[in-house]
Amino acid sequence: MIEITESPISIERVIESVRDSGCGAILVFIGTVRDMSDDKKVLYLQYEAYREMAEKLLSKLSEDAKQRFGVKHISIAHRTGKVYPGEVSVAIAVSSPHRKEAYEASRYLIESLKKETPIWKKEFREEGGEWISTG
Amino acid sequence: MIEIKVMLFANIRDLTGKEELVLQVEDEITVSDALRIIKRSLPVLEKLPIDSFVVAVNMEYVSRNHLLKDGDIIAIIPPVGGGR
Repeated sequence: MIEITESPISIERVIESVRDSGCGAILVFIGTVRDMSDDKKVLYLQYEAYREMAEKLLSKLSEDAKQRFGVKHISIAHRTGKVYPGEVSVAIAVSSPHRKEAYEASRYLIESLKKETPIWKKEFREEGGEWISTG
Repeated sequence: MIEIKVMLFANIRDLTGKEELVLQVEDEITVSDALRIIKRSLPVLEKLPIDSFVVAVNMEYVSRNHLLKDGDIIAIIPPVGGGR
């Protein structure tokens, strides 16, 4: 399951979608919104996505990761719109027969997602909003 | 005459107040040419380092010399990511 959604992410649903009796491990990464950034209070984040392209890239990324690490199932859900401190902005679940591959694939997925996927975030603090990117 | 749809996001969308544009040109042009035309029609874009942004055509990342054809959809992709 690959999903870019305006609605709150159900962690339960993300996990259930990768459950497999042939797998001994389900690893879940959950990205949540921090309430502080550079010592400033964060009111909320506003996520924007080029949805079609993001879903296409994430599907491709999942296939890559399955091939590369031999994991069985991958689900990725990412929020768009306003997300408040403590809420889930992204969830990635990986299932595999053994845990080692799941850890490797999970790390690969979140790092690649951050690098390549057309999803942007604007951080709103008391003094206003600012688009945030890596380096 | 060929028509190219341009999709704008994030800080570009904020700055221009536009989500998309349509370019009509005489003949096939490169991504570089398209960016030049876009900057000319939206001078406010001078405030952003558009030349360093990546570009996708029909949802695939492409280089600046990629040739655009009638009906193509070009998206200017501001830097992504954040968090560590």
